[in-house]
Amino acid sequence: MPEQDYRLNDAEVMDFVVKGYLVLKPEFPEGFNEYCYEECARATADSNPGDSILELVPKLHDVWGHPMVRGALVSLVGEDFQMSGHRHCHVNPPGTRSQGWHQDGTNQRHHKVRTVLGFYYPQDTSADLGPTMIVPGTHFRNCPTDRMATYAHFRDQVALTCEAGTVAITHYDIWHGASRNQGDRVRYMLKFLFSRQGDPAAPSWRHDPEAAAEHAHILAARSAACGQSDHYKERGLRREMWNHLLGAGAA
Amino acid sequence: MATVSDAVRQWVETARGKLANGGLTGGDLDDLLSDVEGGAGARRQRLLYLHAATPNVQSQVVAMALHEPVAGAVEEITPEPPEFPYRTVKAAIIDGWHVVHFPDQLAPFDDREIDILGYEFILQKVEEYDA
Repeated sequence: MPEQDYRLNDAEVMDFVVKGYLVLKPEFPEGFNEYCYEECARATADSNPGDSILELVPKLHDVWGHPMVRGALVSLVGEDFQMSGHRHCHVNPPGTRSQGWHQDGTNQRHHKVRTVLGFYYPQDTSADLGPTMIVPGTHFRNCPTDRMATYAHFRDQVALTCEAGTVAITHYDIWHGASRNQGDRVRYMLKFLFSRQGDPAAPSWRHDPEAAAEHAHILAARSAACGQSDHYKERGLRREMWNHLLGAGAA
Repeated sequence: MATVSDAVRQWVETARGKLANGGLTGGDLDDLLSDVEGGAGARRQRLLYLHAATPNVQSQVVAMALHEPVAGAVEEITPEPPEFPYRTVKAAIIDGWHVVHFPDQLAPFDDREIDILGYEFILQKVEEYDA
């Protein structure tokens, strides 16, 4: 029996281009998520180990090696993608306030899929446990975090509430932030970065030109509410991103 | 958080009932005076940030933040779907909010890039607080 091909299809890649994120629900062996939760608690008990979290909790390799997760990563950042040496175990204890909205890094941005963030949640993350918040479509918006300081609630914000074991993959530039934890246990989120090694020469997902043509309307859909001028511009930027993924810029 | 307006409104509601029963007393009037005088000098500025889809006050609000002038009140990201009190800036103005900052229409123009989401209006409402 051939191995299942977990790479994304055209509609899923287009959806990622438009929204800047996707959510996966891989199945892990029984007890896996609980084990990772406990190991994260142990690893961060005294201080946050930062990049060393993977050495302290090597089982986390299994998250990113899961065929479903790997299939999505290959689809978005190529067969030869690399895991960055930078990663972080985000610890959100009960009673903490929310983060502010932010984009990671500085504002030297582009409109390609060069780096994605992978968020793994080892526990059920309900609305009261401080889920990660994102604003779909904001990966195209190049905005210094300081200029986001007056925002609190977005009409189209999304809470990444999820079951234990869920993996969300987002564009590196998406606006995001942890919400306050009103629950009674610590919420962990393991953030890893994955980058492509070169511009795409061809689609790395289950591309079918006919299916892509059939789903092309996705690239024109509305995401976060905005004015008409911005929407026209974001549609152009989506098309640039899609064409780049197709390999249109390859020599 | 209770404003003087809230306290007076509550007093009037109670007084109506007492009037109907003939139970309104001088002490009730003293309470009313206390509510009003207690708020004197406690006028505070409420701030409402509304980010509208365009600089037009009639365009849809796409983001918001409300800062209450009460110690300990913190506006932060919440996972619940946001309930926006106003669909437009104009609706907030009709409800008594005053715009104290209008978005700049002369921002550098670029026909490709996008950055902030929405146009920021800052509104205020000055109210008296008894706590």
